[in-house]
Amino acid sequence: MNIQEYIASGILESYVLGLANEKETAEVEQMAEQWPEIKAEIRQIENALESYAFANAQTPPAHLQNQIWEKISAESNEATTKVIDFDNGNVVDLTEQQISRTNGFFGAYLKIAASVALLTSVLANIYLGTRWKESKESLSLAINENIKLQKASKTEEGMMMPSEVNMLLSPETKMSKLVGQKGSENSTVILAWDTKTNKVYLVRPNLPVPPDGMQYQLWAIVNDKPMDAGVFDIKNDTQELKKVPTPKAFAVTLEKKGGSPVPTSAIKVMGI
Amino acid sequence: MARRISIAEEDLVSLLKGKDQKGFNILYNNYSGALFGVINKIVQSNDDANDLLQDTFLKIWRNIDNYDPSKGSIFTWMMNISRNLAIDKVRSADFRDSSQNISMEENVVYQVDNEYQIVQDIDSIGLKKVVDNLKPEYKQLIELVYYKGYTQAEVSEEFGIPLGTVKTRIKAAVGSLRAMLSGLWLLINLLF
Repeated sequence: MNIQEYIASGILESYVLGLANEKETAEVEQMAEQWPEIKAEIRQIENALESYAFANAQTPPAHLQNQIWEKISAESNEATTKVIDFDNGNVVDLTEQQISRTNGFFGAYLKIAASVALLTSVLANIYLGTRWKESKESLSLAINENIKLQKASKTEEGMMMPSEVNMLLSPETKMSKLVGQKGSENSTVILAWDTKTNKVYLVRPNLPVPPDGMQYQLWAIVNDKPMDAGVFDIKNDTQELKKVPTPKAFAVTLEKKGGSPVPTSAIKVMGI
Repeated sequence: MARRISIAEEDLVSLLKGKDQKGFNILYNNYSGALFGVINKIVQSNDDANDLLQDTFLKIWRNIDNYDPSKGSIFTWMMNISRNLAIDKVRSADFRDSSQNISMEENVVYQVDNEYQIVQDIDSIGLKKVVDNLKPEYKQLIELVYYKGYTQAEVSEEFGIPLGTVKTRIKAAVGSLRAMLSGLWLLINLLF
């Protein structure tokens, strides 16, 4: 079969969109396994549609993340509640079958132990649930973030101030994540752009420390041209950069200290 | 393509398979916005959308072992889960009976309650602008098929075009989206 004709037929789009019938699906999957071009083409179609979904993303209410995680943990606790046999310290496998097979005093003891364990876990869940609901939604996000950061750094450095968290959660703020390009695949930079004041904030840069005499510079793509949005240092804190008109995208390059009027090096990270 | 992921898809999948909370957090941070957008487009009701997002993540969590990377990206897989749950909801009797719900066919732009302030998701400042340039009929076509699960026959009826043309038209819509997105990256790469 001619690969280009196959790609041109539109079958791959149908496949990704879930429109292909069983026979077509099997055929596409077999072709994809056989031909890297087809696999790559499928991936590109997926990427385009994924971008479409991300362009139309809506942030869910902040409390949902904790709520869902609690549901997930409750479900997995049910499956894995462990009871220790106090006589020998072994974990007792608490399947229904075994409970019904265990008789007499020891069986009753096990059942009580199991009930206590279950009750404790239920109470803990209720307690945690109430606490989360009591705390303000925005705070729960901030706390989560702080805990994460604290765990990562084990110091107070990098902790988010409440004002910072408010700014990031404000509906006026648009967030952008710049991702590493060739040669700096592991780098990321989180930006916040205030739609009211047009100011750009660098939330957290994850970039290697630049060589002496060099600094990272942020560029905003405005009217299809790169516009200087300020230089920044590598520190675990939010930095206010320059004001820029509605940008189409952002990119970061490495420039001489103090910045350059035009970008002179390869892009380290970029994003829209 | 720019993505929210600062983690390779394989790494995320193995975190999820290990039932790691970190995996859940990354999954939620990266994808909840896009999935919520999809769900909202279909059900157009905040309460239902919240429940459906929860069901989606529970289902992802439970079924991650069934995800086969050789058959497509993790987003396509998750998107299908959320879409199918939302479509089932819309087609269910209790949903149709509720008079407050807007008919799916009306295809009205979803207005968000003030109660839920919607902030634009990470990465999407420029992306939205690009996608908004897509021809309205292409946008409608992608949303009917990709979000709402219309079949080719339903598309043919909706657009009044022969069944045979549907595939071509869909290919053109996706192709146009791809061209716009790669145009943006080309531009950025040319400038630097």
